[in-house]
Amino acid sequence: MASLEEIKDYLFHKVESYAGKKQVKVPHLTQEIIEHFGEAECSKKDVKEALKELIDEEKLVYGYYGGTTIELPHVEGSANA
Amino acid sequence: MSDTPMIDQLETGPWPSFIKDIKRMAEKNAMCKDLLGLLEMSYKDKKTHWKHGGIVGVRGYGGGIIGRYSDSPEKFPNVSHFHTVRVNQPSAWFYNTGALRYLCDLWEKHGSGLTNLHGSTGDFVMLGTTTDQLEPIFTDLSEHGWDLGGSGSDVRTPSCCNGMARCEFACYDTMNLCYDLTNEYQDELHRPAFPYKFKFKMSGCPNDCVASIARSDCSIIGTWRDDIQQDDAAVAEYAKGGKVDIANDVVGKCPTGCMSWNGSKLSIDNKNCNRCMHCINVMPKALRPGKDKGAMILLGAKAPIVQGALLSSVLVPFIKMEPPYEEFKDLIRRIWEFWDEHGENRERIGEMIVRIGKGNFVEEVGLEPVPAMIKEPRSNPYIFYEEYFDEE
Repeated sequence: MASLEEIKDYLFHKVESYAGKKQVKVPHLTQEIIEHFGEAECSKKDVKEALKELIDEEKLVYGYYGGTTIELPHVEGSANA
Repeated sequence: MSDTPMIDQLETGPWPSFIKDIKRMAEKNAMCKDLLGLLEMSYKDKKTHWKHGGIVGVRGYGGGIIGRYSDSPEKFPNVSHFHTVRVNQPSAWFYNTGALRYLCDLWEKHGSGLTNLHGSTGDFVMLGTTTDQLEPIFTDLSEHGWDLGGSGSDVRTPSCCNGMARCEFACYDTMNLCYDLTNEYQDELHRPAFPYKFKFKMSGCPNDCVASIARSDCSIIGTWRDDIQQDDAAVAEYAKGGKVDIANDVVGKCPTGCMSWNGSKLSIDNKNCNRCMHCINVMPKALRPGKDKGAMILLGAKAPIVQGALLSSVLVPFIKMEPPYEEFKDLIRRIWEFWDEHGENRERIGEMIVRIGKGNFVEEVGLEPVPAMIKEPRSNPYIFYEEYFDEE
């Protein structure tokens, strides 16, 4: 079984790789992570737990662009205005 | 001349005016003053000057805050941020005056002082605050026993009619179920993980006072499966009083034609009654819902955002709706698992059912197809009999 830390690490780097390129959503991320580790090694519940920890640690944040997205924390352009 | 000649016109006429209220708040709140200016500009330019979305929220939550920024911060700096806060309302919107005072005071302290009562999801909606005020608002709300509602791709704040608290027709305790589901699905409410939004609305009887059939992905509507309770003496009183023309106003308007009236006796063919409530609404002292009460579960309503509007259609014709609601929650778990797996981005559950076919959906969530799984009474059944196709 993949450890929680391994899943968190991979999840974080996935979101990081999408930064500035794609607004990524939870179902898409979940699918990618399970495909990476394999269903025997990582379940939806594991991904959910990893995401929960990353959000609570403020390493990732929720966003909204036509549905909820997962993003790196940043200051929005609109907020700077 | 006024700075806002166009929106000033909205103060005329007999109805209470939102402009009048915003102006009243503008005397003590700079956000409201700039809001008037921005609104005037929108009327003049014939377009909105708001931008929607972004990453605003409170720590750990993906829902409850809706980001709003103005596209003209240089002209109206006090509404450059104007975020909306959704507060999870009590079941059936029962507040005491102290609770309302607290919420209003909180909002005057941290926001514009303007509210919407209530949003279409049911929440107590607070309009207009800045990003730096969000955490203090959330902390204050939490300390006083309140929580944020849903937004984004999550379970939206469940809402219900006032059911057994105020209405003699309620077939199950809508308020208890609403409270129970709100507590049960805290994670799904605050941490969005679905393909798109999912709304529960609960009505105690088929009158459907919260319009759940049009406004929720999962409509839970009270019903009964035995016979309408009938008091013949009270029926005779209605007839004698002349206030109700039973032949025309009751029997003549029965959508399934399951009633007859011979001038002295009302007969109901209950097996053909579709629980429309019309006769009960017209003669509430004489007719009442049956004694074997529960709810029907309908799935799939939505407003037209990505695709066109849909009404819910029947998934479970009758279920006993009593705590701890395990049978219902088990069904919801199976529905969510399937939607999570097969739903496309921004696809509501009703749209997915249309795409894959109700027959396939019913099979995948482990329900037996029954003739009551229809969109409209006595029309368009979804059920196809495999034996029938085999013969061809």
